[in-house]
Amino acid sequence: MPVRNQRNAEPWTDLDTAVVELYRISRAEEFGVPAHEFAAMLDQVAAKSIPESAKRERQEFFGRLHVEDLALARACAAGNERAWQVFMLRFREKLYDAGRQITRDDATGRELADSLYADLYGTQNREGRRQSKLFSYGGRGSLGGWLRTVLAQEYINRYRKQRRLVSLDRECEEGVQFPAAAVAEITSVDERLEYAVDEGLRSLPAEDRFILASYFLDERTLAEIARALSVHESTISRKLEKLTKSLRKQIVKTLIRMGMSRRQAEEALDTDARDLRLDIRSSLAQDSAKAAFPNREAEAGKGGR
Amino acid sequence: MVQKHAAMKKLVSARLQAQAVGPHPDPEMLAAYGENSLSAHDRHRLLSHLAACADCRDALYLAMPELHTQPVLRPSYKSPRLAVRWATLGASVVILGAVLLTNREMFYQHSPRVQPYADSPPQNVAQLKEPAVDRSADRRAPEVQAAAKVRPPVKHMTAKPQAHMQFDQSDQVRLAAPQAGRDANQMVAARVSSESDAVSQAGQAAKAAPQLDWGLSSNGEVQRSRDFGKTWQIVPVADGSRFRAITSIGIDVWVGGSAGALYHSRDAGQSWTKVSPLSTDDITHIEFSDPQNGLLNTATGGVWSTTDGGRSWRSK
Repeated sequence: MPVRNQRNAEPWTDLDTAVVELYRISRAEEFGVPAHEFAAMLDQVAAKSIPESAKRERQEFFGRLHVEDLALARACAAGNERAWQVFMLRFREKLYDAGRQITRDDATGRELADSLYADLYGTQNREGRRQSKLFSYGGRGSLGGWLRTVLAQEYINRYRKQRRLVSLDRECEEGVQFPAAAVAEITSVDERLEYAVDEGLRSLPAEDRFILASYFLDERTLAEIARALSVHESTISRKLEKLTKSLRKQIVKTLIRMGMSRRQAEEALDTDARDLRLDIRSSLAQDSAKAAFPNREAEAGKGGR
Repeated sequence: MVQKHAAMKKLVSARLQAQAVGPHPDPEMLAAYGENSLSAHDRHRLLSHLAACADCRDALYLAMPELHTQPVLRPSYKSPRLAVRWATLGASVVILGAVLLTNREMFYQHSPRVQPYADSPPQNVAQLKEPAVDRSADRRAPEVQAAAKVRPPVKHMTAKPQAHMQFDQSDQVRLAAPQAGRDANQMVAARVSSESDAVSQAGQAAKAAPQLDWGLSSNGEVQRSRDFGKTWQIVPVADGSRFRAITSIGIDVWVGGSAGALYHSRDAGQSWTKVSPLSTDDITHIEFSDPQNGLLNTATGGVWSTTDGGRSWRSK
């Protein structure tokens, strides 16, 4: 079975056996997906995820894919009945459970899951073709995990829309699900201090910034952060302690470099720490200047997530 | 802790929110991240985005399978956790001290000490034709005796510094100029003879002071750190398995990953036992409240629990 790289039109001679093996593992044949379509599917996923990759890198990438889930999702998206039977059997109850867990409410959770089913089945017609959300699944994570994430994103989008319509008083009466910290205006802050904090944050590894944001902004528990980073709770506790100390040191150092004495720097830091006010709600409108995921830029421009 | 960090919270929160966000990642990337199946590069990119994007962080946390809390089968009183930790640490120091004192004599004889927890024996062991290193404790005594024969006590004779003493069958002592190569070999020999002690001590130390950090590499390999996360070593568990969840409690370590692969080590990662697959779904989280009671989550939301240290598992 010669499989060709569509971009370079070079035969993947040594990949043939690997693709055939993946085709066998994926059970795509059961859902009526021919081998050449399966190979094209892999090529498409690789082109999207690792566009400028060497052959060896692609092989490793294919080895990590959840090919069984990928074949099932694509067969469902193509409208294969047998695939849908398997899908419903595997994920129906799990989706309802996930909906309940995310919304903390039985009826809302069920409604959320049902609305996702409609998107998965593909009710929107574009150029005579059914557009199923399952087409966007590429097998890098499990299909179950992907479904849960899509459900969570859908819930956040809905919640955000609803919040624009619900008055603050009513929200308080009903209980706020995403509690924000103190709401007040941002008072004047020494620009040098802002610069020093920005520089300190920029110098931190992404994981450390994630920990700070989760703990300080989202008020997540140590256990939740630990789970998100697959480490032990005590590791996060230690890391937070270390992070806050080193960040403070670095801010003071930067302020001294900018002409303050140590005492002035310490004072500025403490004064502004007392005076600084937060306005988390207004900051939810986020700037999208930096392109961390360039292939998503177009979608972001359309307003889709 | 919240109060302790209050000042820093106020200081950094506003600046954290002011970070540029950029386009949002695919749900697939978030899902793959939650299952520890992203490459190091993609993980870094995603974490950079997550650090700045509250919505995506919410999605990540909401999408994590729910943790089922395990009923704690303990007496009703609450033990002070910190005190237990300190007590464990103190006990560990005492035991280590006792081990070192017991082996003090040997310690001085074999001054070029092999570092504890040697993962692999030195390559030139075979060249010296020394007996193969056996990690069982019962081989230790003969080797110690052999080492003692090689180097008799120094107090019965005097020799110039730098002179090299050689012993033969007739109890004659010959002095020879030191030879760098041979000295190096003797150093290795000392290492070899003390290897088994080091390994057995490592076993004792692991039991007494489990100060190991465990983690997973971006390729899903098990890693262990003995210096509080400064350096990490790959610990071989099983070929072909890609792990996504790890937990340790004392010297018990559990790892789980792709296609329901689940392994357990009762000796701080020196040997591993495969647990029969509970499910073919990927294991994404494992947690033990004590060596007997634990649970694991699968990528599809399945939850399995054990109350007998992993001998049997029940689906919830």
